Amino acid sequence: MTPRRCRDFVRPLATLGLVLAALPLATLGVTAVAAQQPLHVTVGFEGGFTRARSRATGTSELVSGAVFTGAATLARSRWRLRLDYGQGNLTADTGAAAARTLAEGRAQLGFVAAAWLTLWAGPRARSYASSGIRQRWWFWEVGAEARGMLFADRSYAFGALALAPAGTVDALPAFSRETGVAAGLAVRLPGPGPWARLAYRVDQTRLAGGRRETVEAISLGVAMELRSPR
Amino acid sequence: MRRALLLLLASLGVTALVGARAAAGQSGTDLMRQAVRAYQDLDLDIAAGLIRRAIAFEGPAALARSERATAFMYLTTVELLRSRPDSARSAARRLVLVDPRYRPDALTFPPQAIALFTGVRRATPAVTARAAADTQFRPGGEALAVRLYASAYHAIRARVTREDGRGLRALYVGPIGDSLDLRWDGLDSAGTAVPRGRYALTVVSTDSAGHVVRELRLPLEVTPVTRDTQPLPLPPLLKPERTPMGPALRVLAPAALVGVGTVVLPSVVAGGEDHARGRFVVGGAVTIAGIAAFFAHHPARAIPENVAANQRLRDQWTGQRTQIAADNARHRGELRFAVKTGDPVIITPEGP
Repeated sequence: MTPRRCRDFVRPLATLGLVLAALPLATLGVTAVAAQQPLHVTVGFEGGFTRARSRATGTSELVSGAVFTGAATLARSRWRLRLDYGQGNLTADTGAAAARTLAEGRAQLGFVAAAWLTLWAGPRARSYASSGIRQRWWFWEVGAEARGMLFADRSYAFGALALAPAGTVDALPAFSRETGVAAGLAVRLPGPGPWARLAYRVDQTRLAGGRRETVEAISLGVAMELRSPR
Repeated sequence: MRRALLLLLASLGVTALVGARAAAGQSGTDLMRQAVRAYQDLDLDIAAGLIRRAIAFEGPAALARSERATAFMYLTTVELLRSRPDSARSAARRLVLVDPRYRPDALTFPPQAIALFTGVRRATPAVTARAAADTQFRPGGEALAVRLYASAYHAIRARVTREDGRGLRALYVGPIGDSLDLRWDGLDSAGTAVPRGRYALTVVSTDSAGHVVRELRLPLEVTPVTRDTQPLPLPPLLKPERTPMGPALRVLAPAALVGVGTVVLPSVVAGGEDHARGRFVVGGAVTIAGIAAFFAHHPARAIPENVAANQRLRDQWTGQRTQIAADNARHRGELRFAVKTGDPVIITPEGP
């Protein structure tokens, strides 16, 4: 990776980094004053297989590969802050496609509307870097995630819907909208151990001119609940 | 002169009116109080007049039975002291008919008056009756109790009669000393319960020759009544005999939704793509976990403890219900009489 390519790759993530730093501070400041509740922290790691397809008029590109993601969730009272970042190399599955590096990050603020429903909102960034060409994706996303307990405190199923009505994409036609869905199963490993999560997600971004960018991922990961002193 | 005559007449009219009102305001008890004072002052003529006026009162101002008996005893004494033995005996005889059980107070009345009364009482056979004012009993099994009190030892015939005097059932024939208990079970001489109506307990007193000298009538009003029945017990509150389906369905539903959503929603959200088949693995895993959770909640499984407890409750309830239903059926088929008794009346065929 040349220094220029490295800067191109790092720039959108730097923006995301600022957001990631600002949001927790703001959230924790508000919640600390509003309610003297203990702060719960959950950290996790997951690896998965990701497939990205780009369709334009008459052309189709497909790349796929492994992506590894680290995540952290801070919870206090009914508020949640979710931060995650993932990176991986995608190789071409079709002749016209070029291998690329995928980096993706998310910083979202959540509100637990009901025991089974959490509402999320926040920015999401994605970057493709390939042969000196860089695409930076930026979404403002809102979503809802529902959980249904299967075995009390041992296992639950979850499903999520997301919508990004606004966003920007470098070097591509104007952003139209992005929709996504995710579903999966979480199981607590024996004892007070970590949660194992099996998830499937897909999102599609529609751009002006009928171009569609679809990203699918099947992932398996673990998450560990930590507790901070008050 | 004429004017003075008019004033005199007017004043006489006012006096008469006031006097009449005063007399109307008196009662037999007031007159008796005056009569006793006159007797104690030995104004015997005045006492005799007042006693007779007191005895003559009727209605609300009349003397009570005990006061009436005492009034006759005073009259007997006054007439005896006035040297009118016939009048004294007549008063004593009327006293016996008012209350055959009356016994004069030796501290109030002189011995000769008491002796005269005792002689008359022994020579005047009569009975009176006492019974509860309102009685309920089962005809044939239970009975109405009546106690007779006699003025002197003599023979009586007691029977139950219809209102018109026709005989219905003979209860007793024989002598009576001081008192006698009679019981009527509500049946006629044929052993049949009498219908609703007015009847009387008639007691005839006879002299030594067998002649009727007195007759007592105690009115009886007979009404058949039905006994109250008990309400049947409410069915018992039972415990659930099977585990509910709700919790099991509540874990199956989200898993099924997620499973189906994993298969269907990608086509909705990102239509026109060939989606990864791996999503079936995720959807299948969630669905299988949901099914496992469904059965782990043991839907509609029998709860033996509750089944046994409910069976005990049902048996207990059935037993109570059967018992009460049988009691009610017996009560409905059971005839009972409500009998109201009136004041006894003594009749003397030849007159007092």
